Amino acid sequence: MNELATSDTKTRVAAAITAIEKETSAEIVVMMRPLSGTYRHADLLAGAVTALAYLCVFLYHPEPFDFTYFPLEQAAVFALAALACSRLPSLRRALSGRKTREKNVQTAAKAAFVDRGMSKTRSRTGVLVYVSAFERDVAVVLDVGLDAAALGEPHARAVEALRDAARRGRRDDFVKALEDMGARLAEIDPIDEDDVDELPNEVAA
Amino acid sequence: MSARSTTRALLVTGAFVLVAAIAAARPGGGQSFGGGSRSSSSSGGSRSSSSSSSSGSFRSSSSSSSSSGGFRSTSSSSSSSSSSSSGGSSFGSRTTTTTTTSSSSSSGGSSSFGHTSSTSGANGSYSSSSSGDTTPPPYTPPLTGDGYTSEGAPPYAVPKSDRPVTLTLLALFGAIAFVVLALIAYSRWRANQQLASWDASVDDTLDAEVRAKRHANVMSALLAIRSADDAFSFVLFEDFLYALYAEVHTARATGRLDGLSPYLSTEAQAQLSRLPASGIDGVVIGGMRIESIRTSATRVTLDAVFTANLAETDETGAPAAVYMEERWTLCRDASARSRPPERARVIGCPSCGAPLDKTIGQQCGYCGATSKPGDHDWFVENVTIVARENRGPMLTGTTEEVGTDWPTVVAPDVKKELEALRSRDPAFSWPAFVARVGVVFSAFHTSWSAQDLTAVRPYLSDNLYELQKYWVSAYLEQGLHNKTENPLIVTVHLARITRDRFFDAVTVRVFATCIDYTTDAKGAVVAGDSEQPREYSEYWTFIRGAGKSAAPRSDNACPSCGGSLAGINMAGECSHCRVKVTTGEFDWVLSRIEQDEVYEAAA
Repeated sequence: MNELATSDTKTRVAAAITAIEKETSAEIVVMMRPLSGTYRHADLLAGAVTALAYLCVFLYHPEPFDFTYFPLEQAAVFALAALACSRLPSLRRALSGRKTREKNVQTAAKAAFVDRGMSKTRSRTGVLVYVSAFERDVAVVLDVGLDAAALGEPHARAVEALRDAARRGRRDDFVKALEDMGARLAEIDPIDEDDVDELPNEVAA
Repeated sequence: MSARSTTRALLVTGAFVLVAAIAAARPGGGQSFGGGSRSSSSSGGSRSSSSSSSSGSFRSSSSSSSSSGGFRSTSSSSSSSSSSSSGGSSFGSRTTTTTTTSSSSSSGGSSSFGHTSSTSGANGSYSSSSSGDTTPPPYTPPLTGDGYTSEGAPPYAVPKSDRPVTLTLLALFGAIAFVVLALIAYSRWRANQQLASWDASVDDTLDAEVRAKRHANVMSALLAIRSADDAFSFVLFEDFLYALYAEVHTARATGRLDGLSPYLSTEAQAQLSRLPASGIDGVVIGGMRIESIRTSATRVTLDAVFTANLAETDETGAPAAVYMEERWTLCRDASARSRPPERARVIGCPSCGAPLDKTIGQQCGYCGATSKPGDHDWFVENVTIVARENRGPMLTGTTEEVGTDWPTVVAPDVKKELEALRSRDPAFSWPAFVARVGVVFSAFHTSWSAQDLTAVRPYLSDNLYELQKYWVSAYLEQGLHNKTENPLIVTVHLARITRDRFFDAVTVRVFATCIDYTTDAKGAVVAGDSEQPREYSEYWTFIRGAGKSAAPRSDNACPSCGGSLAGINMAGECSHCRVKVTTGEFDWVLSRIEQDEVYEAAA
């Protein structure tokens, strides 16, 4: 069971974010989505492989077969195998490429960043942690006000820890990695004395 | 096709396959399908041979009507074989039909397949001689003209050794289908146990009071408040805050802060009570800015910073000018409605507006209402003293102008709002408005340099007048004189137009030059340059009563009676008709001046 896809995880993550934002001016949103792309190609691959196996049985089995309706049988085997693959996340994941999955997660994360309005912060310090359940991957998107180079290696390690926790579906590891990322953000972009959760600015009278 | 129906279909299909496997495994299954079978040596393209090896491998080219799709089924009854063949033919399994009369075992003796067995059937059933020859004779099924046997029974017996292969395949397919279906069902069950998607942020905290809506800037937050409360006007809100501030400090000096309990929390009262003062003769607010706004479904909270000059008296009765900077945190229920203009400066019962003299705690002595803090009106939760000094602001030294070369911040909807203003007020014209800006600009610099605000009073809102009075007083107290000479408007840009229920507001950016310098009591220049003009720009906001329709005036006449405004009093009342002309009710008045570096349009 993926521990990240539970309401308990959502509650714990929200509490962690609240604690983090008391120390940093960065504004963090964690978003979990079931899927980040279409993987129809994996289903078609499963169908094709199964149909090919069926053909081989038909051709090479020592016992004779009647192939009057073989095309229909072949098509049915293809369809059933593709359908089965679409319903089996493990199989689908195995047949879709790792790079394809990573790319889909990155693209979906950046789209979600825009849709969520993450850039509407005073200092452009929005941070989106995007978790995709099917791909078991995490993408972290930083707004322009945060210098990724300044965040450096500790931030990269925290992001990798987030991805690892998502891969294994471990809630505690995910929250710990989120806190580590927050600690690094607090070092580089600490909270201002007058910083609050909205974007204040002066309207001089 | 929904997932549920798909799964169901797969389950049914798998069940049929299993049933077929079970049916094929039943012994004595030799019934033909529906009583008629067709056999040919090459039907359906299947391999056929008229001979069979001693191992009993089955080579027969029989295909029956029930074996569509190359399905050859071994069945013990016609009904079961029919159903299994129709459902399982796509798997390409093999079936063999047998006749009950052609069982090789019925001939007795060594009746194993392929050996000396004979059948009693005379319709082309398999027969062999009993001569001891180990090679079974070739089988030639007698066919009728239409290819069917005369009795409709299949002409051959299914060798027993072929059955395990058929059963194996069926069982294998059935097992695979069962496993796949089970995995699918498990995946669906597991997915149903989990949250498909969720978001977590500070906004998702359980405490509704903590949830805060992020706005791009204060102006957009104010517009959001106005969209929820159509009676909200920032102009009136400023008036209210100024009035409350003055009332609070006046009450502080006389120890009557508890009388303002409908507006002040006990914590705020305690913080203000710690300030020393035995009397306050005057409160001049130098400025008020909204530092932050947080809105949620139930509450609006904002931080306002005041700068003020208080004329206090100490314990000995000696006057003391005190410069104060305070941050006030105010809150209000999100559903509360703002007070109307006539009550903007009235600090009375939030419920009925009656004086607070009879208030006990939160309960009004007139209407008896006990209002929960923030239910009806703004409530001060906290007061933080940022600075309290006995000297005024630093007025010497030259501060370089910043932002003059920045592009004008123009609201995205300014053109639309301008058209809307013109449709509401056909007399409005941009040249006439710019002309009024010029009149105000000229009067402002004349008054400022003279350190006498009479000339500009008709054109300033009360709050802005207070602000200018604060600064003029500050210069006078320090014996300084700030002069502006040869003021000249270079150009005017339109930046923003807003409206609420009570006021229209037009914000323009004024680019100007002037010689700006400060002298001390001896006439020595202590700040600025008395020779070189300085270029600068500022955002000026003019307000006028909503619904008014009149061309902006550029003369010095009272908009009410037409008399000269030269004798206007400091309350903004015309000396002729006593009408207050500085509320914006008649013509555009200057309400706010913002520097380039602090001005922002709504996002």
